[in-house]
Amino acid sequence: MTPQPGMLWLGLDPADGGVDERHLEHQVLDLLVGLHIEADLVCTHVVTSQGRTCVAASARLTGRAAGPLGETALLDALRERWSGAAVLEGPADEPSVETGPRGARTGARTAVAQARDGLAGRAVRFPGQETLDGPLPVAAVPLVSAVTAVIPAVGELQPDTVLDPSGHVRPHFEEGRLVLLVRPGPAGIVIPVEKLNEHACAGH
Amino acid sequence: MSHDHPHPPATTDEPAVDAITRRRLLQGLGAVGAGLALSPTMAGSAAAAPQSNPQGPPARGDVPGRPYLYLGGDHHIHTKYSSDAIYEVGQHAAKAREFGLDWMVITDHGSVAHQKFSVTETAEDVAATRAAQPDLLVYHGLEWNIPGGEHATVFVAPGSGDVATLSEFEFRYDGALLSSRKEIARATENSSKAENLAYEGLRFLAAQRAAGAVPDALMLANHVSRRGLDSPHELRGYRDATSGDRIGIGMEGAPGHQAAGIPKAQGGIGDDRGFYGNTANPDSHPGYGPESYFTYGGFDDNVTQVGGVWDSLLAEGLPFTITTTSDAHFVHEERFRRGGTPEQRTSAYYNTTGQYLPPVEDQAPQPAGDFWPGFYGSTLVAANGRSYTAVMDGLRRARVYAVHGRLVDAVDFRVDATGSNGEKGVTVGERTVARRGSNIAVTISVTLPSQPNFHGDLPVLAHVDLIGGPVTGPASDRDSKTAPATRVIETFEVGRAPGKTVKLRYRFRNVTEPFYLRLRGSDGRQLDSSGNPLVDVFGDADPWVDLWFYSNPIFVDVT
Repeated sequence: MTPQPGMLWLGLDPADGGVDERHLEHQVLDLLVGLHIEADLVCTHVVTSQGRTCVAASARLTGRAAGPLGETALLDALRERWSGAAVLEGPADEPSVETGPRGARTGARTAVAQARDGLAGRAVRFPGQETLDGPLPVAAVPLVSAVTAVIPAVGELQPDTVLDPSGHVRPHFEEGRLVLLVRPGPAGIVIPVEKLNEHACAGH
Repeated sequence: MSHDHPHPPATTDEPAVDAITRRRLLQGLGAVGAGLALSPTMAGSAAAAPQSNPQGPPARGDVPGRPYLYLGGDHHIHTKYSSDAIYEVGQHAAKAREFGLDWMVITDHGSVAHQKFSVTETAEDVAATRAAQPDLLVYHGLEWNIPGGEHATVFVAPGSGDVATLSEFEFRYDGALLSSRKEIARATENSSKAENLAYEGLRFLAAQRAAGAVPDALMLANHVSRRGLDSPHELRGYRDATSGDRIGIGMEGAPGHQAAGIPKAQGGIGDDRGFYGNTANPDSHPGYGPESYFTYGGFDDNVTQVGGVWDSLLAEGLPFTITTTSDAHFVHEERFRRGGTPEQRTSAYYNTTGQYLPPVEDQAPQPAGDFWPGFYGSTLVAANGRSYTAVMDGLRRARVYAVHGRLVDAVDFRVDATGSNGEKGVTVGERTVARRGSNIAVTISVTLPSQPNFHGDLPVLAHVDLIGGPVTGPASDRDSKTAPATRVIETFEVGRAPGKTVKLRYRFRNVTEPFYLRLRGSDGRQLDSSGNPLVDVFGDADPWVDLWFYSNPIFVDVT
């Protein structure tokens, strides 16, 4: 398999039965670092197929994977730790390569297509994320990052309303847009709906 | 607050204060048109004025029979038998008494270690606490990991088979134990298999009750909207799982952890009120929007949305009790830490013993998310007596008010279909029958607080909303989460009058269709332009300046 021209998208399905997107987020970011894979957009996805719900991940590759190592070597590396993986090239409907058992392949394919088409996915890395490191007006967010729109989960927003990203910005894809949901925070600012520390797992 | 007197107290012959109608949101209902379900049938008029009481003491709680006792309680309390908590059963009981409660339920988390080690030990502590606190009803319960859902309070009345019932229930039906046995992938697994195990669990409790192992057993879903796990069809499923008397009777209208939103600048932990403010996860019900994951005025979005999830259940013509609890794990500004060595304070230690050592009080006051039982919230139950089964009966029938910060000392909500002036009506949680075309009188007697709450404030009840909607029968869509015709019918302005009893009146003329009515009241400090509570802000939600009470409904049938 030789490297293909065009943008490459990687889909990953851990197939471990887990449903924790935050846990998966750390797994996939660690994986990319470990394999020296450069990606400018990384998402987690909730995928349901044949009655099975799981979380999967996607990444838009920007460098090395399209280089000499090639996709096959990449998949070989992934196979050891991930149950399912798929690579989509540009606008193709079918993966150029994939690996893993059928269920996990489906998860990986679904995730990668969702991200590529902007239909769904929770972005854990996206262009401009590093600029959202301190308070700024919500109207500025689409100007400095890939976030398309800032939407209030409750209440109303003015363009000069200040967003405090609090170091944790996880917008999601929806109908082709990358949307950041926000909510009221202290002193008239807004904050992302997704908090850094959710009380979701512990006994509380 | 202690409400062990017949209710309302015999002080209503004192001059009641003025209460005037502030808004009439449904003014001219009769002209709204037949398409609206509240329609001409509920055309009404309001009056709120000082009332003398020409008939002497008012009717008391019941229609026939004895007066109700109004007993305050808390059905969600954690102890050292939870992996994430600390206190003794007896400590909670002493605090509950100090803060005026009459009943409380110990609800430690279901887990493998809890089921194996803690149930019997908790029972011994509960028995000792009952002996030490004869004025307090102390129930033994469990915080159940509902398979496929949220947590829930499950508790039983004392009986020969109480410990065995709780232990077997936890073993067979707790999501943590089911997932440890790989019967489900995880406690919250969103599957029909998991849901059916939950319904089976409720039927198991009903069977234990029928067999006499326990005099009664109840289940209430806790912090329902926190993670979006309890779909509307699951709430209906809990309600309908058992034939005869229900076991799944309701939910926390307000979660515990009410101190969690106190700002850091005020010495709080600056988190989300109720530890809400989460986002959907793969097991969440997709029909719940992002706005539903917050509290509003300290109450769950299911309840605060007029015409929302709770109303959609009530519109079916059945009660679904709402409450408020403490969910006490670690109490704000307390000085306790876990006892023992550092190792003995870890969850690893808990997992091998099912408990922690007694807490030690040697720290500076620590910020935390919780209040002691009764300190902030009280679930007031109209009971036929001071007994374990009477309180449970009142809860099941939804003769219940949920009150925060002692916003009211007492409420007597009455609907009278007899053609008299409302004093003889049925009260909260009850049902009355009106002749088609007759008039209905509503009387709300509110006793305003006479002394400061436990924050040292004398609360002012600013408004009371009369909310109602048509009863439209069983929902065809079990995931229905709206009751579009339910609305605020009348807003009464109340105001400052410590210790006085205010009578608020409303009259429906020419009723033709069944409906239900409920109340909410607030201190009026945090409202939107429609009188609804505001979303609680992350890190800036002082619960003491945003007080509410909610009633459960009264149903009016029409023949």
